[in-house]
Amino acid sequence: MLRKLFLKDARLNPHLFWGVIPFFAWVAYALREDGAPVGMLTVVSGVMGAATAATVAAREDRFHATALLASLPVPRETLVLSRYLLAAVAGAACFLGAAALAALLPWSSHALGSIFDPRTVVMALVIAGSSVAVMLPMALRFGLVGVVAFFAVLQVAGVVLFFIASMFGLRQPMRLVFGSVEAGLRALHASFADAGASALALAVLAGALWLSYRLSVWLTTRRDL
Amino acid sequence: MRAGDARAAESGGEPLLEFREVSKRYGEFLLDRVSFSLPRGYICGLVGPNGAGKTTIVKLLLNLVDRDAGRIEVAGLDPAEHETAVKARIGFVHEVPTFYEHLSLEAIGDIVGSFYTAWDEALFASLLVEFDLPPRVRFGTLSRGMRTKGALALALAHRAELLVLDEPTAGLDPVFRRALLERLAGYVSDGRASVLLSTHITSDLERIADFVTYVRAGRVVLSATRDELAERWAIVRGGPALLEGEARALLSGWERAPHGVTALTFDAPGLRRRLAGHEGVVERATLEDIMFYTGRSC
Repeated sequence: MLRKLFLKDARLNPHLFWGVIPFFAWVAYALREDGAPVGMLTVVSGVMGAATAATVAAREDRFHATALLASLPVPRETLVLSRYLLAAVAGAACFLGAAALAALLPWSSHALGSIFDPRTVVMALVIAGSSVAVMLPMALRFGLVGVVAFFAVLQVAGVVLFFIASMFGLRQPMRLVFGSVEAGLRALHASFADAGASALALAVLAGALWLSYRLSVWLTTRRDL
Repeated sequence: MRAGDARAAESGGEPLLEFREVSKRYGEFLLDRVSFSLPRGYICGLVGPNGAGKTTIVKLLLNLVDRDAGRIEVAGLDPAEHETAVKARIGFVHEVPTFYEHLSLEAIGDIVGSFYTAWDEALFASLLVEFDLPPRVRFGTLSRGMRTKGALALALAHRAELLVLDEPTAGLDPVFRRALLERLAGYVSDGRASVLLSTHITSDLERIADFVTYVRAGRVVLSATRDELAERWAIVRGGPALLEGEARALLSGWERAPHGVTALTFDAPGLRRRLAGHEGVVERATLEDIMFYTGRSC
């Protein structure tokens, strides 16, 4: 059943698969520079791939084809599971695609050890996994509107933060925010040098994904189509 | 013995579809304790005005909406508990057929068919030819009628035991509409399958339905065989005295005119007995009459 759902998604969303070509062209271009941030490129690729599942779910809703899909002999729980598996497969494929470019392109000078640095792999899993855990329930329950609303909420939160910071006389508050995020990500990346911290992060991620999956199943089975 | 009686005997009397006291609330709208059943080998017409709850009943059957109370069974299985097994038995045509608009019917057939073990590729191809549908044209460019025909081809191609059609004849030309009704009658003739046909076009049901369930404002007003309807429900015309005698208790939704009264009765034999020797004409009621006069009495 899951294979059929995968094939269906592949057939319905060919542009998503073709759409990664320009992205990987950009990755290849970025890798030409000395000291290119290969970790960042592979992590972003993984996140982009994983987000495909939310896009596919949103497109299903846009075609008003959710009722059609739910009328076929497929349990709704399996539909939800297929989206999470799609996120895992597409995320892994994009991560490996970017890693393969970094390893094989003649102008890329990155060693395999730095490309497949365990800290970077864990980082990719944590960021892509947590993005999926937040986005997929929204996309499955509210479709395209859910995905757009998710980013709109982030946008509004940014603006509110900006005004609050301005009220307290902070100059360039966004720089502070982005700087804090960057510093946090760097600290997180560094902490994954410790195997215990990595194991804990992966355990928390697994729990978050399980909760997200159960929430998605609950929302989807109660959604009136 | 009616042809339908033979079909009922073959089915062993077990209903293929049964709704028991099913309720669903949507804001202000309440589908209230809906009950009806459909044996194998029959066509049941679900009739009612727009907004009566027909589409909600179809969606409940397909488990597209969560019911608040009651029990639904398809071949003895609850769609909520045996989702895959029940849906594999059902062929559906939604009120607005929505498929992937950028794909052709041929591609949609490949996708939809892969989910049914009983999918018959050759039958689907022959249905596209029979319905005069272009297999390689994008679904989104087809007219409403052609989309419905496409949805029908998809529903028929996996030899469903229960065809659930929500307003399928809306948007169809009269020639194909009649052909469709004949095909549906043929589909149930071997006693293997049944059809639940939701519509507000009562003439379609008078042509083919064995059972009629009339829904109004979320409630089942009546659920009976076509023969029972013809036997028990009638239009009565008479003078103003009609509303003054004891016959009045058997009338509903009366309409006064300068020269008399027209009303609906739900007990035609009883009314005929009470009217014996008095002025009054009892005539067969059409489904439209029943909808019109019961609507007036609400």
